[in-house]
Amino acid sequence: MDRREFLALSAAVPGLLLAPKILLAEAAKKANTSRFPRPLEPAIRDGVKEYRLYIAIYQQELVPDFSFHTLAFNDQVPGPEIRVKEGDRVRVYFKNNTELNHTIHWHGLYVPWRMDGVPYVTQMPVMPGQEFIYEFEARPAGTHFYHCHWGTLLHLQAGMYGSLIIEPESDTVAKRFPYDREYTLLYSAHDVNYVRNELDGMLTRMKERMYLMKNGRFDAERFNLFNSVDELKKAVRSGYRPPYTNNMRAQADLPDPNWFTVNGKSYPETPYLYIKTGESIRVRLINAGGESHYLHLHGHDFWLVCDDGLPLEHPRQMNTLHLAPGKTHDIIIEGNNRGIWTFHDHDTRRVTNNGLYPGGNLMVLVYEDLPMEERAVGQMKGMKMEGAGMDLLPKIALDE
Amino acid sequence: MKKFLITLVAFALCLAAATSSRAELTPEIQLGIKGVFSLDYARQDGNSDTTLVNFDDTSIMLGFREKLYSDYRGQFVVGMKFTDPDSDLGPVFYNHIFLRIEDKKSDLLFGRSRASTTLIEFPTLRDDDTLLYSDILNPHASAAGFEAEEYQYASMLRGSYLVADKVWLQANISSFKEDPLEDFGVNAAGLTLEYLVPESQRWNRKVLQQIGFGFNTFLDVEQPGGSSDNLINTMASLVLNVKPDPVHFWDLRAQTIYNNGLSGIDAIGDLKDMSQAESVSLLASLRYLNRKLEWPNAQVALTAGYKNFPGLQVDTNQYGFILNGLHRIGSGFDVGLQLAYDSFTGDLAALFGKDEFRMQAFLTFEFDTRWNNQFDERDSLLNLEHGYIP
Repeated sequence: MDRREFLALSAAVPGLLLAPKILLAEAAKKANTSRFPRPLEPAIRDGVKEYRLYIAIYQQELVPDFSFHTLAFNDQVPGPEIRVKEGDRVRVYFKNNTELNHTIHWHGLYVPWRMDGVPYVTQMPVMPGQEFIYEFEARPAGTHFYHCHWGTLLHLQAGMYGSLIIEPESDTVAKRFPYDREYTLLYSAHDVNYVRNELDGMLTRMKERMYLMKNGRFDAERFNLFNSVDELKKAVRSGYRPPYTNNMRAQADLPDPNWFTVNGKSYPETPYLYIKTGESIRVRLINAGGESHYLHLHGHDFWLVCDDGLPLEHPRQMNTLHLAPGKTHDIIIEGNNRGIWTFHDHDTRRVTNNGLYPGGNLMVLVYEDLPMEERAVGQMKGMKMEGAGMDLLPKIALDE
Repeated sequence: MKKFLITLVAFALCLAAATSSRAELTPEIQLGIKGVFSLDYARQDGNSDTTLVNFDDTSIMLGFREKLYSDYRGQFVVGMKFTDPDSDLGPVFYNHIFLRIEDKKSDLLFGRSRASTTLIEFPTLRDDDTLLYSDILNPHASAAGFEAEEYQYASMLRGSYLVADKVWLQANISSFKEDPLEDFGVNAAGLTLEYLVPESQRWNRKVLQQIGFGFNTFLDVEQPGGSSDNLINTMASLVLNVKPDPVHFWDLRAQTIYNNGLSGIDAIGDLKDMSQAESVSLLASLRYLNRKLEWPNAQVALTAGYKNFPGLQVDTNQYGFILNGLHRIGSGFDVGLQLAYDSFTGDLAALFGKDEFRMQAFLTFEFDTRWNNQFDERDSLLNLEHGYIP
């Protein structure tokens, strides 16, 4: 079978589209687009870009045969990508379709303080069934993200995050590093057992609380809500037990992530970064999780061009980048070393699925112009694999 | 005590395995503990008796659970309880030893567990406080003395299937033998149909929490003349949220049992006769639960029972009341008082005395925990309301 026949076959067998053997097929590349955040189209009203986001409980499949319950914007993890121009007026209608409280925080944006999405600080939480309207001017330009700021430890790793890209009028990065295409990658880390147990517990508590709220029986102590520290101290003196005390909550319940994702998926479902020789690609890196990542690209250096969305006056060349929680970095990868190259977290605990390597946020940079013959496995003495159809690289390995 | 030590050693070995080798799948380990300690005062027909420390019903249960290669889950459970001080069963009784396989809609249990001779539980200090009203009585139990465990537990093969939303159909064949290791012969079979709101959805404000119907047939029950016959009992139950309020919660529960009785039983001389005589029993309780900061704070419950034996030569019946109250002093830790009164007439007066009054001051503690948590309960809110994940 030659390459042309091979590609024709691959197009006829959709179920195999993402198998490594047909990695370079057009259909596979097209299918790969679904592994990046889906753009959310705005409605324009009186010059304002209006977006609609809702939150609901959703089952996210991280890899084949492993799913968990998540909190998802518009039934997507990560949520849809909001992409606007610098200076645009933006209005976001946020509908809460869960039985939990939520807000949206616009991470890195200069929004009016009442639009910042911090419950009990800038707004009351968006309660079950409620809608809240956020409105702001899109600035500063750069790579940003949005996320829930209620119960952040749980809600963030449960899936409530999405990319927010503000395009500048004049892109200094593009001027200095003309790039041909760009990708957005949102990193996260999930303790799925913690998420499950906490979600179950919060859903149980909220059923009680909403019943009381609907009946006009708000109880400040039950909601653990006070107007001041003095009021809290007074309640404690009167017998109130804060939920963090040792007689109310056992210790050592902090999450210990066992799944690591890029755009809501773990290897081997992580996205491919396609490139061609002579091309440059811009990769927007967002750490929406609670763990640090040390991203290393094989066979290349890349340029760090933006930090927290802000263009660097002096871009730095490197091959390993520290992506801390809450940070965004933009990098430029130049296609100057044809091949299939691993791009992964060098804290190798993060390239595991449920403790098993390989997995997690393991990805590959794929040159589209890689000749088929360079992908041949070849033959090792005594280890002939061709008969098993194992003739091309890369493979999907689930246990090394 | 030897059995208890063996169980503790086995548990320690399992914990060690859970933290060492990863060569095999380590199951989820569950531990449930219930400590029931009371100071008892009893007065029967004018004679009083005091027990300084009664820890009957204190129990420990261990569960080991894992996902099977299909969508099923497998579980092994071993549990033991400490018996009455004067029990012939020894100080420790293994009340749960079973393997269980379940999926979203089905549940198969094989081993010893709580017999399907009652449909609901009542808010009393100990599980057997209302046994004479709440359970179908086991005619295969030894006649010599009253051992509650002989009535409450059986070896069984029990299958349950979710035929509709919250509606379970359950069938069992059981062995009420004293020692199933020597004789595992089936001597009972039963069927129940039950609408049951899962525990996780108890705050959904629905009034109807449970309604159930069931029957149980004890096979080859020996009759006084030496022949044997089948003994059929039917039962029905109901649990209502009277006031489904998260702070001031009221519920009502009731259960009735009709025992067809065996022909020829027209007098009660011992417990075996009692289980074989035609009878109608009714047990009901009203409970008030006060919750503070989303945790139980205090509870008061009044339970009343009545039982009549229409087929006897002498008019025989019994009735009783239990009033108890408890206050939660820590997570899972309760202190309280229970008052109980029972009255017996006819043949039962000779067996149990005319009446009995009991007062119990108690301290209880219970908790459940798990290690190596890997998956959710079938009846969790996430699985019930947001799509089941096997």
